[in-house]
Amino acid sequence: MRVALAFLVSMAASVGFIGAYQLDAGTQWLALSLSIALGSLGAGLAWWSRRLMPQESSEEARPTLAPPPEEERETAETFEAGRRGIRRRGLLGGLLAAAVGALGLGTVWPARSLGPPPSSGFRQTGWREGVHLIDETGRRIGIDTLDFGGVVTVFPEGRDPAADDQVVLMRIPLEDLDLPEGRANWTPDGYVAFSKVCTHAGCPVGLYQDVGYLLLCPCHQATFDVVQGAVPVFGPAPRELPQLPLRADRDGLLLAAGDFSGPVGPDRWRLGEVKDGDA
Amino acid sequence: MTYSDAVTRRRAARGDRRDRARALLGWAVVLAAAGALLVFQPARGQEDGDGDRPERGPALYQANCASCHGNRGEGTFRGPSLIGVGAASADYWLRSGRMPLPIREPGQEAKRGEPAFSDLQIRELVDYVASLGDGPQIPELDLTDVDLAKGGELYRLNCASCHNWDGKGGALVNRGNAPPLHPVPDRQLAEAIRIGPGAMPQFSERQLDDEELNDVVAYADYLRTPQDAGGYGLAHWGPSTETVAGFVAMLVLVLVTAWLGERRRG
Amino acid sequence: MTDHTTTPIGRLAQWIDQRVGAAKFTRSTLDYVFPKHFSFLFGEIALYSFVVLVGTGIFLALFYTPSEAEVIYAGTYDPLRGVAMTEAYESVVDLSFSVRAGLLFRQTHHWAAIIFLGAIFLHLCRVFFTGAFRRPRELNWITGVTLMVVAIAEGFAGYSLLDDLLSGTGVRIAYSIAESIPVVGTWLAYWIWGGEYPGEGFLSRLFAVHIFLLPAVIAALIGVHLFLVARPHHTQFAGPGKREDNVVGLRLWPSYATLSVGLFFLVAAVLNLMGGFLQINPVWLYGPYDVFVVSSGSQADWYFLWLQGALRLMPGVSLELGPYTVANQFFPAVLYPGVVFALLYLWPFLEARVTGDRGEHHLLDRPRDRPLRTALGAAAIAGFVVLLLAGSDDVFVTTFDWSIVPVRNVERVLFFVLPVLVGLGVWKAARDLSRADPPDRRSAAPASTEPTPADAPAGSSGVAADAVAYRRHEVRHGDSGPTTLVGAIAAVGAAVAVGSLVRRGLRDRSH
Repeated sequence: MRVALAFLVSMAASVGFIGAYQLDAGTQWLALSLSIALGSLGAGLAWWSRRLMPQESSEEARPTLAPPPEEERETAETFEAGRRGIRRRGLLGGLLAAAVGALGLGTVWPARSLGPPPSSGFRQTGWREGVHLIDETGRRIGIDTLDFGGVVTVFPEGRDPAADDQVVLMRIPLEDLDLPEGRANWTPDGYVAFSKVCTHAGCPVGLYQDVGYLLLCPCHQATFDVVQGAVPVFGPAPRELPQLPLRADRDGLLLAAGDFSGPVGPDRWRLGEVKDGDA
Repeated sequence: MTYSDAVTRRRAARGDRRDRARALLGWAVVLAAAGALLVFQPARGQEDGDGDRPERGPALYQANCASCHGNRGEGTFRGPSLIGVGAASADYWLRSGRMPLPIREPGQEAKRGEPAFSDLQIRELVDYVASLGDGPQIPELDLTDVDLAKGGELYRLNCASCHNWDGKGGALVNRGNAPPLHPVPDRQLAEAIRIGPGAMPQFSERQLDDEELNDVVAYADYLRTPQDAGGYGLAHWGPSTETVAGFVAMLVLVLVTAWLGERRRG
Repeated sequence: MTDHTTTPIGRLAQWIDQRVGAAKFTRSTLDYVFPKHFSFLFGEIALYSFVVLVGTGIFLALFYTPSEAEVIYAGTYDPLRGVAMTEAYESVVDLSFSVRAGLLFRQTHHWAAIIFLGAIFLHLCRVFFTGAFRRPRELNWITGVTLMVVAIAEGFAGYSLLDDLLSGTGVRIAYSIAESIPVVGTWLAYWIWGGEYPGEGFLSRLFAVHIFLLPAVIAALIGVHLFLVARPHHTQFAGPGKREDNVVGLRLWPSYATLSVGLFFLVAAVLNLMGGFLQINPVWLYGPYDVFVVSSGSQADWYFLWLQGALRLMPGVSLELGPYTVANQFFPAVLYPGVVFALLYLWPFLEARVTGDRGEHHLLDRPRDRPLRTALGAAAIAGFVVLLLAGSDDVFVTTFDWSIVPVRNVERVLFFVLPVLVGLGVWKAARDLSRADPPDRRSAAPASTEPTPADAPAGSSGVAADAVAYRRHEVRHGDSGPTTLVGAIAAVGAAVAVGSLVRRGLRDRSH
């Protein structure tokens, strides 16, 4: 009785589902009707099984998995007999193995098409001396774009920006800056620029705290102290963010004064080589 | 209308503030009232005497702000200078109830709350602070003709990294946290973008023009009640609450198996 | 041959049987005995979730476009109209807003993935804590762990296809993890992505992997898994008349099959209900992915959340080896899960080595009778939970207005301390419980080193006495299995619910 009712409800709900679809009644009506259809069908089957079908425990012998010794021996002998025949032609067997191996290697070789070898164009960014800074809409950044306490994401002008090109540009009063040796003239009018690619796992270091001058990556909370040269102060980042040296031209526009101070992006095996190449 | 009358009336108008929409309505009432006052001001001024207003601002300032920000807004060791912060800044801090601080000590985190002053008092204080030096004006928002999609793009680029894709705020290091945007009225959103209160960076007009400001505020406003086409939005916490919901569903399914796999006794 | 049957189905069966000779196999299958215990159904939940995944997945695949080509959205969701996005993301937004039942099936698919892995995890725990991986089932344990690994990869592939802001961020992290592997990492990343991040044609590769390669592997492994279950027949808990050499329970046909099909529909109903009423992965709110955009509160789905937690807990160091670097993210995201899965794979062999017990076991352990194994398993789960919390700590730090730095440091300590505490507590509790039980109820307390004689005569003398003792025990203690498990899950759920209420209270106050 209950089972029959469940099946009837299910049927009605299925019709309801079709109706909801035809009327374009929306996700929730579709879900409601379909889950009633599914659920009452499931409950009906469960009731049927539990109430109307045999529920007494049955017993079944468990099969033996380990074969009887003589069968094991016979199998081994059959195999050995064949193998002795092969072993008499030892050279042929060896050649066959080598040929199959070579064929395997050959057929897998085109997997190289999946990607270029990493040596070509490894970690070249679009930044070099004299490139203008533009924002995401293509506007050039000038010396008056930001107030002190401002932040903007910038890209190198004149090229489709690559992932490693993104730079976070901030403006900080010069007296607050405490950058490493040799970077004194990298910050015209307090503009400081660092790679926006986190040195931990590559997320954009998008979170800028104007008080305390911290850059923070929202993925794993790697935190960088901007005024010290974006050195990591908390979280998993092992390395500082590379800085982009800046200068201003006569029209008051900002330009890159060179490439980054170090390798962009997360650590990787051959980081050392890149470091030498870039610096 | 006395100050306490104003507070009582506003509180009554807002009810228990559970409903975000009602809160918005409350703000609309406040703003409308402010606008009405503005319109009728000349008549009022004649009645009360023109010399009345400019004197009340400084008096309020001396009574409530000067102990931290200095007698002429020059700042003290307890609080920063207010010279040149502009009307937008004063309006934001006072209307968000973050100022004045409950305990007047440096290093306090200013929390959002009920404003301590009436609308009129705030306008007088704002006028006074703005007169101390040039600074950002209160932005004039116009959300009638906005590009919501553009606003969304600007929001994701400039706001989401701290305030989350949903506007619920996010974790900062050593500075409290980025607050949720949902309880913040539109005008304060716009002011905050221009002045960068607290740890927040500021966005100048050269970087984000007034039209873009309208767009981004409109998107933040949309996020108060975004389109949850898929059903209950699970508080928009993303995969974290989805994990919890999945956990509960797993519990339901275990109960189903407990029912199906139950040993029948007797 | 005479006709044994006159019904059309019978005639068809006979027609087939005369050509493949399957009658004997079919009959033994229909007679197959399933022991009844609720925990034996967790694997079936996973299986049926997979069926739902395939069904909804086919529908989704017909609407999804695996293309990174840039388009300007012009669909029905207003707050994105005019936004530049990839065709992939556009097709997902269109599927959600313009295709009838599209959003329902998309969300059901996503929930099914979460429950698929949840059920796999629960099933793994059941097998582990009851010792069902012991000889002769080591191979099936390995198959099962492999299934879990492949399912995790499949889940990540599906999650990443959408190309929304959240999944794009996840893919960026995945690239840096692939890249971090010593020596081969860069090659590997270039091969998977087709070049330097974000690569070329990654989505179409991922699509092929997600809808063809990995589902085929999963389906094949499920086949192997079921074969390896059925070959030695099911394990069973000790009980009246239940011995190493028999199986007691319901026959497949018709009772168990009906019940199990019923379970399928119930699982599908729950998943479908969630798909329609609990919004999951609202990609239109996340927005399209851009390499320079990120949102705070970015989380991974739960089966990756623990790795996100591990990445967060790792201190900021990397290992310099002359000109080479072993990257920071290698340790939490490659080495640590590598060790975890290696231990999982090797567990049956490690345990056999330590206990010296290499005999066949078809009767299951009760967790309390193996305090050490139970304690180690509980400790591992405790560590896993700490990592899950760490993976979402920015969310609850924001919610409760705490501070991330002390929370993170506490988690770093907890990751090492909590497993020890939980392990010790569980070990003591298990030992005390086991000792409080009458000896006849303990499952194989001193481990037998001899293989059980499989050809022992059925119904040997001790069974009747066993049965009496068992029933006496049953009356006193009842069967606490489901209650305990549901209670544990409910406790965690309640904690979360109370937390969210407190949060709401705090938020109301702060308005």
